[in-house]
Amino acid sequence: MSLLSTVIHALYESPVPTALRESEYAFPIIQTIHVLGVAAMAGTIALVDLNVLGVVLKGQRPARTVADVLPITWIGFALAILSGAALFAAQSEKIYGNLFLQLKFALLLVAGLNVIVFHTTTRKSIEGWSEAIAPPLSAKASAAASLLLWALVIAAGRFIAYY
Amino acid sequence: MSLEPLFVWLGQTPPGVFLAKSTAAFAATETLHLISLAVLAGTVLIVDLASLRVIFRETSPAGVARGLNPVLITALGAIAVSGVLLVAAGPLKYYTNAIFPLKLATLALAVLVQVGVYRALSRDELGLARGLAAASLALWFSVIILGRWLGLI
Repeated sequence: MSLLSTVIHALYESPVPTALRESEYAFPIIQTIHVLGVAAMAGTIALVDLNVLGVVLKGQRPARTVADVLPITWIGFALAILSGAALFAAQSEKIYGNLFLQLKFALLLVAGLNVIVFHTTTRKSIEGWSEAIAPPLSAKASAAASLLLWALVIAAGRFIAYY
Repeated sequence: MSLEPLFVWLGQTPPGVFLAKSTAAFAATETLHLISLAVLAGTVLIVDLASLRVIFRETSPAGVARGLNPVLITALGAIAVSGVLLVAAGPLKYYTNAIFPLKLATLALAVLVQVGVYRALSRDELGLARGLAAASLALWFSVIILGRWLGLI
């Protein structure tokens, strides 16, 4: 047995994941929380991206949009990651070899890096953007990448159930 | 009058037949439904919380609503199209599902109340907009929960 499969086995058999798996209602309730969390997080991220790209809220400066929606994004993120971790733990031994699950983890990593890049480099200049000074190309590229990456994360997540 | 023939017909249309056979195409349609749902949820959260003066307090909520209107309409359109396609892939499952009509009714009410939020904002009736925005949040929340549960019974 490899180290990973040993760890996954211990996780799978531990009390909380076992209880989640065996409960009739816990699993669908956590799935619902996952959908709500993902919707709040991805939805607000998409709108910030579209704002940076100049597609929506054209009169609104992206710096303000980010500042205003960030709390919703964080709440959505917290709900999504906690419920996601619970869903994964409950089924871990059955699904850790799933291609789409692995793809989703890889995509989450890249999407997360893109978020870090956005908030460390792009956001430093964001205060200066206005209707007169458009966001730089690098920021627009980051926003477009973000839209694509989160869409792919959702797609990979949905495909886990079928393969 | 029974709506059963309509559901049967939907299942016999070419997209219905195709989606019933192809797992990948069905999952892709679900993905489109979920992505547009996320965008709709983001838009609704922002418009309603702006109307309730929780966020975007320095901006007029009417301006926020106007600025996000195209996204809201596009997301709703994509949700409706992908939703009809999902039903077409297995119509009788939905015809006999007790939660399905409840979800559609809640959805219709949510859309109506959302239109109300927009109208109230454009007429500068901010008190009315607040009340409707709170109702809208509760209704959309219910639509998502009912949507998840109708797949489980």
